[in-house]
Amino acid sequence: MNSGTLLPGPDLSVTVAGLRLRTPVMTASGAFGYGREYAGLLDLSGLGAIVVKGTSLEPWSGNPPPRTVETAAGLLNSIGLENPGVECFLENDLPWLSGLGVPIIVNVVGRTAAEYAALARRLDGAPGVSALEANISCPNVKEGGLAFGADPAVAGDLVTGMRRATRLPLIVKLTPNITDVAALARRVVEAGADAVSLINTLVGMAIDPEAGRPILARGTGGLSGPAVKPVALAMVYRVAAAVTVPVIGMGGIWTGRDAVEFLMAGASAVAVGTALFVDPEAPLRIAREIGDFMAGQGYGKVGEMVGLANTGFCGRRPESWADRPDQEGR
Amino acid sequence: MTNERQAWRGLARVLASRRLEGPVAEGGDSGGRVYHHLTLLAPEVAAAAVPGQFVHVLCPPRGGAGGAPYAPASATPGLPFLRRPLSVHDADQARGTVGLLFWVKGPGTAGLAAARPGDRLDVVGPLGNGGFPLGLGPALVVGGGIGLAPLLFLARRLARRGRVTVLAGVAQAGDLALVEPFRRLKDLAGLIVTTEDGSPGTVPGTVVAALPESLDGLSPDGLSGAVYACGPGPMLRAVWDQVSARPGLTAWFSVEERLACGVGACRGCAIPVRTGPAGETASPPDPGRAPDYRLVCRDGPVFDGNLLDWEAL
Ligand SMILES: Cc1cc2nc3c(=O)[nH]c(=O)nc-3n(C[C@H](O)[C@H](O)[C@H](O)COP(=O)(O)OP(=O)(O)OC[C@H]3O[C@@H](n4cnc5c(N)ncnc54)[C@H](O)[C@@H]3O)c2cc1C
Ligand SMILES: Cc1cc2nc3c(=O)[nH]c(=O)nc-3n(C[C@H](O)[C@H](O)[C@H](O)COP(=O)(O)O)c2cc1C
Ligand code: FES
Repeated sequence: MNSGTLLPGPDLSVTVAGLRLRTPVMTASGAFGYGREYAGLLDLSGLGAIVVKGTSLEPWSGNPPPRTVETAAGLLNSIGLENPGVECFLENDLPWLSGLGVPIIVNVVGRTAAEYAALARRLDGAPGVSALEANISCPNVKEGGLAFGADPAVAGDLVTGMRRATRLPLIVKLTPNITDVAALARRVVEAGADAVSLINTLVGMAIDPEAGRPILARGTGGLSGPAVKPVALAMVYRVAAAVTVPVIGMGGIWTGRDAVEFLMAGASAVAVGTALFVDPEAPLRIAREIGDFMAGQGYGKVGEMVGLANTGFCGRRPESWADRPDQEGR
Repeated sequence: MTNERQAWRGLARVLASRRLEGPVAEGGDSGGRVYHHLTLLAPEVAAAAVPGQFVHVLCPPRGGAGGAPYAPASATPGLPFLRRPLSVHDADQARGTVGLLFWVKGPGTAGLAAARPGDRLDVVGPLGNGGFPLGLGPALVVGGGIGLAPLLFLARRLARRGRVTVLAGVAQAGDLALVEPFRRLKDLAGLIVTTEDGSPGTVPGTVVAALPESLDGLSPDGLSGAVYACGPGPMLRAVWDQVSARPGLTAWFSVEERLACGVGACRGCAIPVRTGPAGETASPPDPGRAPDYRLVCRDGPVFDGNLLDWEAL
């Protein structure tokens, strides 16, 4: 692994839930497909990690169109977790992805807690899979998704089942569509989550005034993009003051400064979703901008910024791993 | 189905930017629609593009120089936000230029129309599947309104290979500027222009009404050849109804859906298709089965009429 982290200047490497990330910037699930879609538009090997599209046991066909609407500085989506299923992923995408030398995190979705556990078992030990992210927060499906993530007790049981089924680092993705996100975070950590990520999208709607009905076929969708950033940041801040495991922050991140805000709120790493649609190189650009910010402000390592703005921060600051570049990432 | 061709992303210089003027004087009845043409210097796109493909353009915010004429009176801030898909209207490999033709509809296209020569636009492209398959037999190109945009490049390429007739329909005299570039095309076997307002020199009515005659003339038996169509949904459906009733004809349609990523990653631009699990056409589709979708940005925007689920579209 030839590592940009050996260059002089700020050290962007972080270790999160045992994963060695070259930069703290990963792709957010659902915005990056299975990675190959963006090949040629950015250098994937420069990413902190790749989080693939929500993947289920069987193929899911997704929701009827229209599935997306642009809103002010935001995007409403109602994809409905269309995906080709875990076997297709293992056969067609994982071999290619695992050649990139970047941690690969598989975002998993199921209709039942048993399906989540079965996915965890299926992916456990699959060569090239670095971690799982349990998506219990998708607002766009009837079963699964948010149905699990809105109730701490139900979410806890689901995570317990997954925890038993895999030794892979387990990230649990939290919904913002809930009153007490901190209680939810505490419960999933008790149940064995190695890290939590947030936020998934916020329930929203757009109506076509001429047609007199909602634009999205399902009525509501999930809002992402800069429009949600302040909400996401406040939620990351609350969760980082409630749990000791690493927090992965996302929601509207567009620039290096946006990312630094999330780090300072207590996130050990960040993910970039919607920005990819406008700037396919966004995660690399944002990592560069974080580096520029650190150089300008005199930070040497990412961990120095983590939780800085959060008076209640109770996590551990992520360590850099650049001092030991000989060791391969997971 | 993975798109292995690589798209280019970069800044394309605007070489020319002009509002389309129809034969009707300013203030004439143009139905309120304004059309605009941009010429971009983008040699990578011009070299790689095939007819039917599109570019994904980051539109400058409105209010830029010259933006005023198209800016709606009141407008939500924070728009345009996503890129806008626009078909490759024309591509000149020798000059390295790409032409875009668009209806100035909302904030995205309004911002684009305000672009001035020398400005640079952030463009990703060419995107989409292999575009319209170019056959060797007789071809009929059918376009309605701004649906004519992707068809100029197509007609030009087809005319190099064989017999091509263009059937172009617009609503009214003010829209006839959309047809002008086809008049300048060399080697067309025929150009039939329809207008709903019966403008002089055109066939009164719609392309749908004029289609049977054009299909009859496509080949001696009226039963072989390829039809290429782009336009509003109801027009495409009517074209398919007529074409599918004539076995032996193939038909290709360029369709639209709202895009986000444009590269097949977000699964946002699904349209319903009639296929079995293995991808074979199962017609009629099994009503009990989950719907099948294809992605407009990755698998399209050009689709075989047999594949599209016309009932669900
Ligand atoms: C593959 C493809 C090729 C296209 N080629 C052309 C072309 O060559 N010339 C042309 O005039 N138009 C074309 N369109 C339609 C064009 O993309 C829309 O008119 C444009 O995005 C409108 O943006 P706006 O901000 O001006 O309008 P608004 O209506 O305010 O746009 C709001 C949102 O809806 C989306 N949207 C609106 N209309 C359409 C539409 N018909 N199809 C898809 N998304 C839409 C926009 O992208 C945007 O996200 C094409 C669409 C697709 C999918
Ligand atoms: C089109 C789209 C699809 C998404 N699909 C998924 C998904 O499959 N699984 C998931 O956990 N989150 C999914 N998300 C949520 C994102 O991963 C992310 O949490 C959210 O969009 C906020 O980040 P952003 O503002 O940077 O996009 C999706 C978001 C978008 C916009
Ligand atoms: S627009 Fe994202 S998949 Fe087509």
